Amino acid sequence: MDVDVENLTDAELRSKLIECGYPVMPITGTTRRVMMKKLKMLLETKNKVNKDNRRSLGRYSSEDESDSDAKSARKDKYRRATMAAPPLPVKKKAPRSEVSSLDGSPLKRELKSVTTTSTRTTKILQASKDEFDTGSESDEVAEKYESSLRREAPGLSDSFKKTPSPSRLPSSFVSGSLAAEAASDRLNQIRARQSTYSSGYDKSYYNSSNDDILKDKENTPFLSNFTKRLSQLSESPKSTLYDYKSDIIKENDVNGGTTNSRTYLNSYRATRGRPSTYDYKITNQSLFKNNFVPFMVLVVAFLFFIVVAIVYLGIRSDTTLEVTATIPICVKSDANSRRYVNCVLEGEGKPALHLLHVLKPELNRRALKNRCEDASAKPYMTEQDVVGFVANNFAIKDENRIRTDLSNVEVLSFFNPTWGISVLQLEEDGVSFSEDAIAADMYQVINGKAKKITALISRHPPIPWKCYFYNTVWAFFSVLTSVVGAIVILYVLNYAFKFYKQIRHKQLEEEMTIVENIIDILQTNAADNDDNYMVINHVRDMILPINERKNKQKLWMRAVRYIHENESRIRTEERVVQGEIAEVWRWLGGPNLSTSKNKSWQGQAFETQVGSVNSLPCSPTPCLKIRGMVEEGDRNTMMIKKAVLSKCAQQCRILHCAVDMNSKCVYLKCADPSDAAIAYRNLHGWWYAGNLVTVKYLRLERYMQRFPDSPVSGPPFLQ
Amino acid sequence: MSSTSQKHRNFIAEPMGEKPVTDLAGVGEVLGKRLVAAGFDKAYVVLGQFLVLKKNQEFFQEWMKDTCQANAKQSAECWQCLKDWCEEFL
Repeated sequence: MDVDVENLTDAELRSKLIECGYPVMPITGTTRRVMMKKLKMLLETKNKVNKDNRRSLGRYSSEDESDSDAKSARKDKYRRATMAAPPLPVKKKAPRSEVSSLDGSPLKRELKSVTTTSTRTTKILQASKDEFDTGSESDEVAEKYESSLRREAPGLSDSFKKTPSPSRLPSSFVSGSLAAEAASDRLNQIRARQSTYSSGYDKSYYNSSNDDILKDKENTPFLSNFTKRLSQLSESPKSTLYDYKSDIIKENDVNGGTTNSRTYLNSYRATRGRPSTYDYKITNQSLFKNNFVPFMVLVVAFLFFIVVAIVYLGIRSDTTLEVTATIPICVKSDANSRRYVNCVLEGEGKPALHLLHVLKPELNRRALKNRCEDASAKPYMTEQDVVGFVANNFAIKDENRIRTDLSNVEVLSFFNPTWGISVLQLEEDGVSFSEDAIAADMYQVINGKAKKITALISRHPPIPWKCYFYNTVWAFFSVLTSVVGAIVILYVLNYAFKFYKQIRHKQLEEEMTIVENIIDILQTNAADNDDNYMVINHVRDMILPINERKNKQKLWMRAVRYIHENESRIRTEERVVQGEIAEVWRWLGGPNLSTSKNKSWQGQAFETQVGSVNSLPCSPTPCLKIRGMVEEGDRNTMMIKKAVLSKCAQQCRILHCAVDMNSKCVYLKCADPSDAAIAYRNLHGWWYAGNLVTVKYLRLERYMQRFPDSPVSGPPFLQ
Repeated sequence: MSSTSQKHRNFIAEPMGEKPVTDLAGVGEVLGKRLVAAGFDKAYVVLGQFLVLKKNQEFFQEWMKDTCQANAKQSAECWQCLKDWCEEFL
């Protein structure tokens, strides 16, 4: 790559720069030196991109650190776990050496290369041991390997005993020495070859070690382990996405890195990526768990009601059975026993029961008709009805006899509540009657006979299933509609209340803006001119545009009143202004010296152009998180949004922009990463309202978590 | 550079005409002298260089550093000044 930059002609220099993908200016006498410098720098950086990857890795905001402190802590933990020397299980060594001595013979073909590599590994191991005092155990192991190597050197067939050495690789890898990476790469190749010879060996070993995942994490990430873990990861699409993303980001950095090192990175990322998938699972589970209890309560309630319904039906069916009657017989000698009131004459009981048998089906029929078919039909029979019914349908035509029997039936119905027949005392012959109309005893009936109509009713007719079902459903729906109606009304009320509140809030905010504007104007006026008063109407005309003055008259009046009542630095007086008496506001406070109110872009703190140290070589995601623009108590988020958009919307396509007051950040989503890069360069390192604005890239998933309804693609793009 | 300087505002307030190079924001007496020595005696000459470098900040700053040993702050101010002027008058 050594090009003699100094001796290139202008044209050559130009073509070279184009090759490097740089925006090329005309090469003139004055620009030539700058361009040469640039080209030199580019060539140099190209040669050591590998070394650079650490730095850009650190700058990339992989996680939303402010959002999840816990997460980052955990991340640290994992990082530490990988960095530290993993305690090597002692049992690990024994099976290995056994097996390797078993499969020595087929490996003889590879002998030459193997020995060289193994010696190299030992050197590296020693080097890493010297550099990082990784702990006594690793030293011991390394020494052991060394000694075994020396011992086995003449008998080359056993040189594969060295294969356990990959178990020490993490430490050598993490040490960051490129040589170690290369060596481990070669070793892994050998290991891959070896595993093809003795495939059963690896499996059995890893199965046993797989029991303990935690230990697994600490242990060496062997090749087969990687594949296993990666396949595990690929089962959950979320995590693969995650991995894939970071892979893309990483690939740009690693560039010349060996495939092996990437595998390690993968596994490292895999362990790092897993907690996030865990999180999702946990939240899902807890969601289910949270809903589980109410759900169970619902089921139990439902079962309870079913049981109650069954029991109720059972009771009902019992009452429909005809039960034997108890007949109180009047005793002549007893003064208390009165005919038609609390007893029946001997011999009159039987005819009364006969009448009851005749009446009962008719009563039931009427009650059913009222309940199931025609609500306008009378559910009861008046005495007149009974007499007419009996006279029409049966042989007995003697009305007096029927009336006597009927009276007896009435008396008996009080003594036999199981019949389900009640006596009613009605004011008039209507369909409906209240529970009060049911007579409590025979005295009431006798007393009311003159004024009221006496009637019989079957209280519990055997209702057929269809009718019962229909009634139940109807009742259910009526209840449901009323409940739904109530809920809807409540919701509407709530909504209206919220709407009202929102409007109020908006008005108040507008009022406050006007008041602030007034104060601002008066303050600046006092600062600029000698006379520190202004005509009120002039102030209004400065604040409100012509077309809005009429609409906002009320608002203005409120703002004026507010200033009257709450602003002590402004005094209202009457003055002659240009020959006319007008109300003026006089500013009593100090002149405007504060500049903090000046919300605008104030310049750049450091450069962020392409190629400078402050901008990433590539933009990993289309989402940005902007800090430093939102201040405590900022009410006007629109202005911040406008400021962001005005800064960068001209040059890139922005899908979504939101100001979060809680985290004091502005979130920006661009159409693609290259747009995000433009926005990044336009915003990062700028001063806004006295604060330094910093921008970080945000993962798309995180952005979507925060703003699930942000648009996925455009147009429209925000301007 | 919390806000633009008075010099900056003065410069971008009007067309540059025949203003000397020291009228540029970020260019003081010392830098002005060096620039004049390098042949950039008027502000419009620097503007020409600025335009040849396609308004690219990085290159412009590099060039400033090269020709008159300007530090990052000075060259950034100068660049900003010329950029704002261009936005206004070009």
